[in-house]
Amino acid sequence: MGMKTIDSSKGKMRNTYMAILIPLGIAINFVGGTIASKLSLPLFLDSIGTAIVAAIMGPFVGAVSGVGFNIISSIVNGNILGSLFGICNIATAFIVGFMARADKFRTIVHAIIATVAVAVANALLGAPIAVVVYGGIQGSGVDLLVAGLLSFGNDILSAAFLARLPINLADKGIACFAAWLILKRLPENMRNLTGGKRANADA
Amino acid sequence: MIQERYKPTFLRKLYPNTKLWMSLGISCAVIFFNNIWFSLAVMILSLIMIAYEKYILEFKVVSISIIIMAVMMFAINGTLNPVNNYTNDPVFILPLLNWKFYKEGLEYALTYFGRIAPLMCALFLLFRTMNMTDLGIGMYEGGIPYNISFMFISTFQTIPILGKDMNQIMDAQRARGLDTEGNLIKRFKAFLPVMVPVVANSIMRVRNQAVALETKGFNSSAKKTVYRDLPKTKADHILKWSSILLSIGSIVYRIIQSFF
Amino acid sequence: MKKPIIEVKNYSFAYENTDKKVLDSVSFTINEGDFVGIIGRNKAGKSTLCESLVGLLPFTMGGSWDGEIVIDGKSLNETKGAGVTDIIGIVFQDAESQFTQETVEDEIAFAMCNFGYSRELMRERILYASEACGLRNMLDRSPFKLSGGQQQRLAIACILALQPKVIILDESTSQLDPIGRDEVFGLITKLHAAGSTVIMVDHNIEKIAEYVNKVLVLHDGKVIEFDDAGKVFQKKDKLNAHDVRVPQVTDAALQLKDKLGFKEAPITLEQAKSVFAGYKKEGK
Repeated sequence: MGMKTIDSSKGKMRNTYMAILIPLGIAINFVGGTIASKLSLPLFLDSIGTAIVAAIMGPFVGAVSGVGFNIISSIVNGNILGSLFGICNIATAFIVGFMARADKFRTIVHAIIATVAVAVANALLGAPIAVVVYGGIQGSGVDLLVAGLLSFGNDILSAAFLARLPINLADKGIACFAAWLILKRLPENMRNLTGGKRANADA
Repeated sequence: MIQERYKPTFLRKLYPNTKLWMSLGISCAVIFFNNIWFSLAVMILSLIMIAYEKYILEFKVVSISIIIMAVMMFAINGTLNPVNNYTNDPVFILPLLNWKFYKEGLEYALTYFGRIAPLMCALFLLFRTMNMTDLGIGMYEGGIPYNISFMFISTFQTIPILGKDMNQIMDAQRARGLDTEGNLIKRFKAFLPVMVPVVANSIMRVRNQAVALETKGFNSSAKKTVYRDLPKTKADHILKWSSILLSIGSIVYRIIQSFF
Repeated sequence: MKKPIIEVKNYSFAYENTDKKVLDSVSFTINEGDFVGIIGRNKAGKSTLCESLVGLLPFTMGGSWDGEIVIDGKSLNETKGAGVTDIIGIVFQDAESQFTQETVEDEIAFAMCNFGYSRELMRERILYASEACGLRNMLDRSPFKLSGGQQQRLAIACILALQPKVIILDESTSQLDPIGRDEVFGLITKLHAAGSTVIMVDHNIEKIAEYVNKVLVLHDGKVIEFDDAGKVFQKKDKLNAHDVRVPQVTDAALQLKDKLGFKEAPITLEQAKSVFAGYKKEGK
């Protein structure tokens, strides 16, 4: 008996999953940051949600989740200019998202490549934003490294960049690793949500 | 039907979008006027309003981060920023540590601090008097697509749920012997055992949530209506247009200023 | 005369990207006003069946299928599942994951907003649904701060506001404590008495026997039995062979059938009392 088939990836369910995962990504970012501060860790750990959403639903949805987090977080913390750091989250979402779409987020090697790429991008983008918004010192752990580098004679921009490299390697390493783990264990019915060419293939 | 949740103060009765306009106006003014006296005035006014609206306790957290930021900004920039002119005498020297604070660095810090601190106070006030669901509705009534306003509202419900999960799991793991207070390495190791269950649980719920939304008509083609009834008064109109004028005015002022 | 409201005709279903038929040639008819209990062991296809009845599977969430489901005279194959939510409301097991709004009032209004109801109508329905579910004085509380029983009642209220003809409850009481469970069963009985058709998936066989009038038994995606509750539960051996047990009262009574010689074993405590009351102590 011939059964008829319907492919869900072309339907409206993607909207529904988006409506659930974007807030979830933001909430996971908040939880990560909260655990980090409860454990007094010197990292941000607030991009894990962005990486996870990007790995599941692709770069653009991940980016929306990341920027949403930065906007809400900066409002909650009182400094709305901090939402400019959303640019860093966009970079994270794009790198992880495009790799996931191209099916290049399966092995541990992939995860390591993602970590390095995301860390460098975040340091490159985060430094100038920190300088423009805060003048280089933002009131968190990374500033101590910046101070150290300043005392070696670096200008504020380079100091901000160099300080952020090791911090981001650790920070984004955890994020990418977590996203990779989740993607591996993703329930079957959520596997085809990354969007892009695969979902729009003609029947 | 909804009992009065909060005392209806002036700020709380304003339509949510109005407060967004006010935020824009004050932000533009503080940033573009770039005037230390104006910033100071905004800051003092905000602090008075915060006390009046009885938010002092909640404001403590923000005020602590303002103080920490001030200390780090002034200390690090005052002593180490290459802008400093080390040939002149320092403005003052910190006694025990013999740190030398120079004028240029301190002025540099003051510029940035003078932008951020007043905004932190003013915006704290405006956003604490906003109910997030009302704001989501204001966004939808203002033309933003329904899905986006839904996601906005839903975010503020999801965050506390995950927070509760996080606390439960942290307690459960601690009861199993997880060390959350030892040295740095131990604390680092404690991160994943708390984070992974929280995240895994939330992902497992996603399909159920998607199904529930579907059956509640999330994707229906009907024009979505709004249940909460948010009034718009004359005060809202006045404040909205004053804020817009203030924003434009401050930008124009800055542009003119840069020519002289 | 009883009118059929759900007709399932030879329906088979397999999830996307799989070949295994989770439902295999299922056929049955439910009439308006019925109270149907669906039982079967885990992975028997009960939830899949519920989601198929509302058109979620395969039309919205994908999958392969054969056969037809007709809801209130209209075949889902033609409507592609559109408009079913006007007729059938479904409530799931994990109530908390169904909530997205700040207050109980907003939550009940949510589905109505999605379907474009006017504000006046919404206010009316919120009063009606919250009253019926005993939530009238909790309208401004957060859905996430309610007890388990209250959350399930809220989930039912959200569906009730749309005034569907059929209500499906997919294991709605499994996560509740006994008090919560009684609250929910009490509410459902009230709704059924008021004319709704109710379909309940549940593991609590005693509760099912107490409330429903028809029982559907599923095993590995196939219908094993579909008949009046009293008749289905007589077939203890057949049910046991398919990993389904019968109410304890029935089990005990069936074991005593030869000694006591009745025609039909009782399926609830109440029935048992009246059946056994008729027997006098022998001898002694």
